[in-house]
Amino acid sequence: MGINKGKDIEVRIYRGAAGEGRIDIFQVPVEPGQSVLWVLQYIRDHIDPTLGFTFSCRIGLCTSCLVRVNGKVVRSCTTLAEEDIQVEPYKEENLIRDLIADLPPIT
Amino acid sequence: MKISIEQEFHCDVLVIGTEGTGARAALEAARLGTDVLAVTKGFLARSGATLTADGEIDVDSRSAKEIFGVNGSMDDSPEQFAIDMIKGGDYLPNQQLVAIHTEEAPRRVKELVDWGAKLEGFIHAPGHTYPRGLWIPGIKIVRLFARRMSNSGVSILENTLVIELLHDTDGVLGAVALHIPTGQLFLIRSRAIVMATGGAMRIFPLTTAPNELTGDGMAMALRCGASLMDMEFPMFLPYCFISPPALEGVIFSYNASALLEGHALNRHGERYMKKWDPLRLEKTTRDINAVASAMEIRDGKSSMAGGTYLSFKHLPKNLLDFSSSWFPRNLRGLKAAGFNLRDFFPNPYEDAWEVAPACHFWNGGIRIDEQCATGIPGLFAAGEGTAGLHGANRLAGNALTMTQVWGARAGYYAARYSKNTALRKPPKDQMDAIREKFGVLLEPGGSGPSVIEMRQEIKHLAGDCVGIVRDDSSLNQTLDAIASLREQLPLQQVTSSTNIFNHECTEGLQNENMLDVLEAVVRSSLMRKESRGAMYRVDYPTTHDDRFLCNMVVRRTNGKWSIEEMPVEERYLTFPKGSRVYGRERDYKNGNK
Repeated sequence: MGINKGKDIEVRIYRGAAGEGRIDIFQVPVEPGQSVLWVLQYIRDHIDPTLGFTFSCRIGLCTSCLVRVNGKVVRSCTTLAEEDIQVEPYKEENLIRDLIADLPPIT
Repeated sequence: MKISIEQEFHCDVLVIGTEGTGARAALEAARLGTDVLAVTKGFLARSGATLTADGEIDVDSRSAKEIFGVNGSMDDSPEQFAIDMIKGGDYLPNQQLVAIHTEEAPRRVKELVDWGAKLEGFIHAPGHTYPRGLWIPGIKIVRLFARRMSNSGVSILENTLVIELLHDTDGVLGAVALHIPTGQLFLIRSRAIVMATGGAMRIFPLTTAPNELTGDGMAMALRCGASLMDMEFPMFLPYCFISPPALEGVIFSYNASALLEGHALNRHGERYMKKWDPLRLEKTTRDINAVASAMEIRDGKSSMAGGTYLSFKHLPKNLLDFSSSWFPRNLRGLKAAGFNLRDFFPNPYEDAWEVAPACHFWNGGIRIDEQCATGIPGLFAAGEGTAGLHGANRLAGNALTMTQVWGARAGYYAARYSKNTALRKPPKDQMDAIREKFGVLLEPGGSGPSVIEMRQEIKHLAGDCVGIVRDDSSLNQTLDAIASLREQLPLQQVTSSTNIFNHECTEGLQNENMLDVLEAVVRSSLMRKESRGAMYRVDYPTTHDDRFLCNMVVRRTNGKWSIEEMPVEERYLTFPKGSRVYGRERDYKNGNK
């Protein structure tokens, strides 16, 4: 991959319960090949430990980390964060807190 | 702060963990007519290790042919499978448990297929004398079980973290759990408990395991008086991706190294495997590959990202292009779990990959007997996080088999036990202690490190001071560091005041579990002054069969650790004698292997 060059991206994240949400903005240093999940973990570990989101396998299998990135429902673990992004719960009706939402039934 | 129990549940059998092992235990206990409650700290069928399993589930080759019609060998038998397991575990497995395992495996896998699991292939993995790996991806198994549990009357609690087991002089009587979505404490009163929470791979910085695998079950069983065994053998898989960051812990690179002839290189471009196994090089066992790579990193010869390199550049392009069409189905077309390698590497084999050994499986755990009993009446345990089956190492494909054979056994014996046991009242002193440890994580403040710093420190110790290659001095230093972290546990700092999915609170509780497990690993490793299976000691690099054919059994009573060497019983396979070069059979030097 050559020498990685880091840069800061702007991450806009939905916060709060359903209907009363706000958008918080974080600056996060990223390197090429970092996932949205990595960015969320970075924020929780280094900036705001109260940020709510869920994940499990980190490798694109379990769907515990469903979110909406720039309007599109994705797994945060397999979606790369290389430019500014907006992250929201995957489905507003299922929202619990921040990015945490009840997941669709197992099929 | 006053902390009250908000809800109380009663059941015959409480199963902690709801995936491969827990679900199988719950189904078996329900089949025996007991009232079963299964709890998971994650989302049902969306968490835990089973769903990440590629798909091999082992049965002896003859049964595979006879029952499933695949191309197995009639020369194989459950006995031969058992011998391979004992050798694969470097003679430390409990031979009686192994015999039960290989005998019952075909029946358990047949049930899975009868219940709707589809066989997708049949493979011959290293370490097995015959092909034994029936291919059923773990994710298909957990989804099937989720549906089956709901049709079998098993009650499920998701996002519910069991904090502590409750016990009196007659054994376990229930547990207290945190309902993560509401922050409420639940009291669960049960006649029997099955622990099916898996390993503790997440104590290590680099792991292939999902987020939940923090050793909760082992730690709670230890605190309840049970013994842990073979804790010095966390298993590491060599050649897992460490870069780019999104791919951290993805095992495609390891699989590729098994299917193609890759070159393992250090920063100087040296094929360092020449020092370890000049004949087989990278085709030696995965233990030696992992240890060799860890030693290069330790000696300051790491790659840019801190691992080693794995290169396929020497192979012709058309050969590499062809390979992605015959790789196993889930790797075909350069698919790596949920990723496509081409998203990261436009020409995937052009550059060397940066890889490192990642903690992949927990060979040891709660000591159990053939009925999954732990020695604490009413407490049963099964699957990963229990000890006896794999000894110093596990055969490929045997983790899924373990979930089915031992999940079913634990469910059966727990259900039977529950029928002659009464529900009992939780002792007040234990309830008070749980309230106290939980309470400090609820109020913002705390004078110690934050829960996140605590977690990071535990991982740092596990990765840098314990790791895959160990020595007395760093292990002893780690013990001191653990002691000081333990003092900080009740002082952990939190900032959240929310009741809803308070992640700091769950992490704070898990930190205690991770620390308990780490200490068990360190204490067991200190006792084993040799190298064997998944553990390499820099200061004791030889394997001593005359001295160390024993299992290290650790307990903790009133905060005091004790450790006992229990000799392995020789039942079906006789033991080697003397000493040997780590990772090799005695006759290797004579060219017999």
